[in-house]
Amino acid sequence: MANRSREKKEQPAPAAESLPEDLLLEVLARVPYTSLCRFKCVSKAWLALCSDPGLRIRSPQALSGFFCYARRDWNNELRFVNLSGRGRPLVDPGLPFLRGAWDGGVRTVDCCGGLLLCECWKRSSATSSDADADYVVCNPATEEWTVLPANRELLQDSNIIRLGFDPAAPSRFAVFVLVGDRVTRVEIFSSETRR
Amino acid sequence: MATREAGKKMIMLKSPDGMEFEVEEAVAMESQTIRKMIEDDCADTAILIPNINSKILSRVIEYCNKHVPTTGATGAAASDTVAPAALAEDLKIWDAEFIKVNRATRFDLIQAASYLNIKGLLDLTSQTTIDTISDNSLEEIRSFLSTKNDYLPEEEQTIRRENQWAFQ
Repeated sequence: MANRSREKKEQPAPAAESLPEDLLLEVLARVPYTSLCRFKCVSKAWLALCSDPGLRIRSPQALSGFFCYARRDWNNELRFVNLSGRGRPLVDPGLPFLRGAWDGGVRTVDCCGGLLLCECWKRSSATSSDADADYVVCNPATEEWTVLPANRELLQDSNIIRLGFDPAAPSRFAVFVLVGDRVTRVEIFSSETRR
Repeated sequence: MATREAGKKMIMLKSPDGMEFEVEEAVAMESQTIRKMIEDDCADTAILIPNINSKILSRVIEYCNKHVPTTGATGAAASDTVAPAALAEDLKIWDAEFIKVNRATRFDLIQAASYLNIKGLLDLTSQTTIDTISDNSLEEIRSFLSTKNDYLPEEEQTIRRENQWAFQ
């Protein structure tokens, strides 16, 4: 033990890599999410470190803002507003992580507790009807998403789709589809049962 | 266990390079690791602190000495609530001076704070490191960490594009 510590002292300039990974994570856990995203560009090792899911959960200001629609814009552009008082948006409202799989378009239907419910199209079907849309629930902070199973009621324009969320278990959510004009039936998708 | 004036319990801490430090038990117990050893009665004579050389250990003891709850307080939490704002401010200034060390020493302090489980010191050392690099350019961060950019140009372009919003 003693020898090891002396050897280490003799190194001219120990790099951060000389901190074991768990300590680097300890340090990085204090970094705002924005900085984590910048640190990803430092090197491949740092990309792996900064992508650690545990880190994103601990990272301060993981979501300290809210989504809203900018009404004045005709196209109803989704915005993300920071509450931290600093200028950079913590989350890219364009949801680029979804655009890889759905290149035709992404429209946010509902938002609840940091989760977004989006209607997504593939380019090939962008011009056709809603019938080809996928409904996706995503967490923009962790960039994880779940595709809802295809359901006829989801795609009916007249049905109202809402997202619900359990604050005690942030990864759990439910999607409610209120069927019919007078809500004759409710279809529920739960993230727990995945049905 | 050695005892000294005013009945204060003293603990002997030994670094692997042979130095011995006699500290008050309350000071040593700022470290949750040492607290556990004392509470489990594993600390009758001296505690060997592996991996932490005497230079770093003496700095850690200096920190604990400053941060130990003042006499009369029953625990850290109690002293936090009764401590006047001026005292807290004084500690902050002291901390800022304490952490003015070179990078290698700071990394050694992080390791020591983690091993000894001293939350305040771990917060201070980690936060200072983060503050140093947070607003730097990528090149400055790489040079601070003596790490190389191992992205291929096109890989770097992609990762930069994905995270462009974080640079604005």
